[in-house]
Amino acid sequence: MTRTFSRIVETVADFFLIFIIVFGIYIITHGHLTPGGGFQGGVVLAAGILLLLVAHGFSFARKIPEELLSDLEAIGGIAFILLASLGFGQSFFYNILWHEKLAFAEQVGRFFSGGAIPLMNLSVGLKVVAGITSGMFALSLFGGEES
Amino acid sequence: MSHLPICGIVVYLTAAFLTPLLYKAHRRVAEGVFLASTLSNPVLQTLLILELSSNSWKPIVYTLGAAGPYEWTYPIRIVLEVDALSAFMALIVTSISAAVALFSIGYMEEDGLQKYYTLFLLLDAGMLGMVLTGDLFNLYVFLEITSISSYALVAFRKHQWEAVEAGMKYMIMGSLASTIILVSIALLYGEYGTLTMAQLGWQYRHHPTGMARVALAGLLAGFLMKGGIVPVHMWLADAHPAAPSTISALLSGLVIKVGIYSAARIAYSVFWMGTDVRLLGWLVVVVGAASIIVGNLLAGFQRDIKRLLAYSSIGQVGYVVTGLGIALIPGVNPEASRAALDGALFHLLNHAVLKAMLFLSVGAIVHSLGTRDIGYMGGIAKRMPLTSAVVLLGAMGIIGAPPLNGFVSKWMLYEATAIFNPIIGAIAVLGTAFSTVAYGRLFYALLGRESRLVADRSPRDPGLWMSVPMIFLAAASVLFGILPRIPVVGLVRPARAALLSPGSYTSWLKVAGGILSSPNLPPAGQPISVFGSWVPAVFLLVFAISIAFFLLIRNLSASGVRTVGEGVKVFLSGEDERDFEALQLPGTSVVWGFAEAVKSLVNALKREHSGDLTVYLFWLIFLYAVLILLWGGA
Amino acid sequence: MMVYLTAFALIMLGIAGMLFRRNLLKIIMALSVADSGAYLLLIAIGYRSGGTAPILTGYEGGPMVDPLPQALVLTAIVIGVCVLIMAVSLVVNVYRHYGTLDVSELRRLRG
Repeated sequence: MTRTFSRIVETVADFFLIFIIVFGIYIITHGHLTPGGGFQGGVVLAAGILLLLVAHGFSFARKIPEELLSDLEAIGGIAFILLASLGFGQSFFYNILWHEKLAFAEQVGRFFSGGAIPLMNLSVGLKVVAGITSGMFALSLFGGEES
Repeated sequence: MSHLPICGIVVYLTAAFLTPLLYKAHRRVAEGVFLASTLSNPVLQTLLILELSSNSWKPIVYTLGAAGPYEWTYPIRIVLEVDALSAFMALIVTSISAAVALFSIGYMEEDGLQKYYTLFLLLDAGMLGMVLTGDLFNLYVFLEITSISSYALVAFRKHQWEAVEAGMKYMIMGSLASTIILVSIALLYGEYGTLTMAQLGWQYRHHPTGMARVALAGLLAGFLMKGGIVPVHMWLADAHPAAPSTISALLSGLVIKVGIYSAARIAYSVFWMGTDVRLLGWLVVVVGAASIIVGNLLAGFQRDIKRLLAYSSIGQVGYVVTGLGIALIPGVNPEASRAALDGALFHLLNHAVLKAMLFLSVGAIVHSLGTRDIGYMGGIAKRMPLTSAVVLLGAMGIIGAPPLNGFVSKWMLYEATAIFNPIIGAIAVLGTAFSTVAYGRLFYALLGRESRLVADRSPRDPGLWMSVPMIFLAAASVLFGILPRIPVVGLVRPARAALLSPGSYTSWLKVAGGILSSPNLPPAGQPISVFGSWVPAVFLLVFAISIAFFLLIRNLSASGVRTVGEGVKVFLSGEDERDFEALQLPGTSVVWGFAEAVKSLVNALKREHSGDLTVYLFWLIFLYAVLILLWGGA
Repeated sequence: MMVYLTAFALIMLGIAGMLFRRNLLKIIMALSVADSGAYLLLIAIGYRSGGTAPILTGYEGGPMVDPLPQALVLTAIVIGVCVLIMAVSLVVNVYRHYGTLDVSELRRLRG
C-alpha cells in the first residue's frame, strides 16, 4: 500500500526547501564567526533533503543516483585532507593561509578571515550532506521494498 | 622537525577518500592505490623507529597545527607523542595490515568492494592513530574510527544472518564501552583541565584525586572490553568468525591488541606513578588469568574452526594482560616485572603474526571448501600442502612449541608468572595445555583421512596474491623463534623501558616552580568555581550508590529468570536448545578423555555464553562497577 | 550541581534502558540517551560562573566559559550520529533476517 502525502504537503515542503538550504549554507559558511560550522550546517541541509524525502515518498530516493553522493563525499574528504596538508612545511594542520596571509586573511571578525577554516567547513559540510543523505536514502530504499 | 608520525595516518586517510572515486574509474586502479598505501606504511614506520632509536628513544612530540607544542605559554594543541612502545605497535599494525591487504586482493571476489577497501583503510588509519597519539580525546576519536569501521566490516556480508547478528552485538557492546570511556574522559578533564596524556600524567603524579581513579576505572573497563578480556569477551567469539577472513585476521591480530595497548598506555604513562596500584594490578592479573582459562578451554570444544581461533585469541590476549598486570604491581621482584612486560609485549607481536597467519590460511581453506566445520575438513593437507603447512605452523606457534616465536614469549611469561605467584604460573601453563587440546584437534582433522567433502571439492592451494602473505608471516614467525634477539633487544626491550618510565613520557613538559604551565589548571585541591559545587566526593558517592543499586538488581534476579518484560520467561525454555549435557565430540575423538574430565566446567561456561545481548551488557556494567567500587574510592 | 545530577541521571537512565529493554530500537535509543548524558556532563564541566559565550567578535570583557569541552562535545555528537546511522541500518538488516526485533531472539550464536 503506497501512501503519499497530499498536494499541500508536497508543495509546502518544496517551498520551504529553499529557506532551509539558505539557512544551512549560512551556518556552514559563517562557522568561523558564529556558532556552527561544517557538521552543523551539513546536518541542516541533510534535514532539508530529508523533508523532501518524507513529503514525496520513497520514490524520491531513487531520483538522486547513489554514485553521485558517494563521489561528493569523497571530494569533500579529499579537499579536507588537501587543505590540512597545505601547511606541511610547519606541521600537518598548520593554517598557512592565515599566517602567511594568502587567502581568507582579513582581520579577525570579518567574513573572509580564518584562513583555511571556512574552506574546511565547506568541505566538511559537503561530506556530511552527502553522507547523511546517502544513509537516509539507503534506509528508505529498504523500507520502500517492504511496502 | 620530522613529519614522520603523521605521514602514515595521512597516507591511509588519503587513500581511503580516494578509493570511491578511483573504483569508479577502474577497479585495478583502486586496488593499486590500496596496495600502495598499505605497503608504504611499514616503510614509514620503520623510518620512524630508526629516527627514534638514533635519538636514544626519547619520545618524538609532533604538534598538529604549530611548529612545537609550546607556541604559546602552555600546550593547547593535539600532540602526537611517539615513544618506543608506540613505534613498536605502529610497526606491528602497519606490517600485518600490509600482509592482510595483499591477501585480500586475491581473496575478496564480491562486487561493491570499494566499501571494503575504504573501510579497511579507515580501520588502519584509526588503529595507527590510536597508537601514535598523545592526547586523550584524540585517542577516543581514533578509537571510534576503528570501532565503527570494524562494526561495518564484521557485518560486511549482510546477506548472512550470522554477520548481521554478530555485528549487532559487537556494535551495541562496543558503543556502550565507548560511552563509558567518554564519560571517564569528561571526568578527567573536569578534574585537571587538560587532555594531553603527558600533562595528565604529571598532574596526577603531583595531585592525585579520587575522581581521577574513578575515571581510570571507567577507561580500563572500556578498553578491556575492546581488548576482549573476560568477562566482557563474549562479543569476540561471535564477531570474529562472522567477519570475512581477512577482517578476522585484522580484528584478532590487531584491533584487540590496540585496545590492550591503550589500556596499558593509560595505566602506565598516566596513572602509574601517582598512586598505589597494587589492587588494580591484582585485578588486571585476575581478569587476565580468567581469560587464559576461559579462552583456551572453550577453544577446544568448538566445531567451527574460526570460532576455535577466536576463543584462542581471547586466551592469548589473557597472557598479554596478565603480563601487563604483573608489572603494574609495585614491590614485585624486578626480575619478574621485567620478564613479565618483555613477555607480554613480545607475545603481543607474536600473537598478532601467528593469528593473522592462522586466520588467513584458514580463510583460504574455508573459502575453497565452503564450510567452517572441522569435522568435514579431513585430509586437506594432501590437497593444499602450503596452506596446511602454514596452519600447522601457526598452531604450533600458539601452543608455544619451539623453535617458533610463540615459545619465546610464552617462556618469558612462564618465568614471570612463576616467580610472581605459583597459582598464576600454574594457570599460565594450564592455558598452554588447553590450547594444545584445541589445536591438537585441528592437527588430527587436517592430517587425517580424507573426508567426502574434500574429495568432492578437490581444493587446491591458492594463487600468488594469497600465498605470498602467508609465506611471509610464516617466515617471520620462524625467524622470530630462531633469532629472538633481533626483535626482543631491538624493539621489545626499548618499548618495555619506555612503558616503565613515565618520566621520559612527560619529559617534554615545561614545569616552572613546580607549577605546570597549563591554561585551565585549578589550584590544587580547590574546586573550580562552577556553581560553586564541583565537589567530586558528592558526585562519586551518588555514582557509587547507583552502581551498587544496579549490582543489587542484577544479583536479585536469579540467573536465568527474567523479571522484566511480558511475564516471566525461563531462560532455557521455548526453543529447541541443543542438549548441553552431550559433549560436542564423538567418542572416537582423540581428546575424549580430556573432554570428559573437564565436562562440567565446560558445560557451565557454555551455558553462560548464552548469546543473549543483555547478558553481555550486564557483564560490562558489572566489570565497570567492580572496578569503581574496589578501586575508585578517594 | 543540578546540571551534574541531571547529566549523571541521563547516563544512568540510558545504561538502565540498554540493560532492561528487549526491543532493539529501544536499546539503540537508550544508547543515544546515555550519549546525551555524557555530552551534558562535558558541557557542564566547561561552565564558569558568570561567563559568556566564547565568541570573540563583540566581546566586552568578563569571564568566558571554556570553549574546549564544546569542541569535544561537537566531535562526540558527530561520532554518536555515525554510530546511530550504522546501528539503525543493522537493525533493518536484523529485521530482514529474523523477522523480529526482540533481542532475546538473537541467540543463534552461542556456546
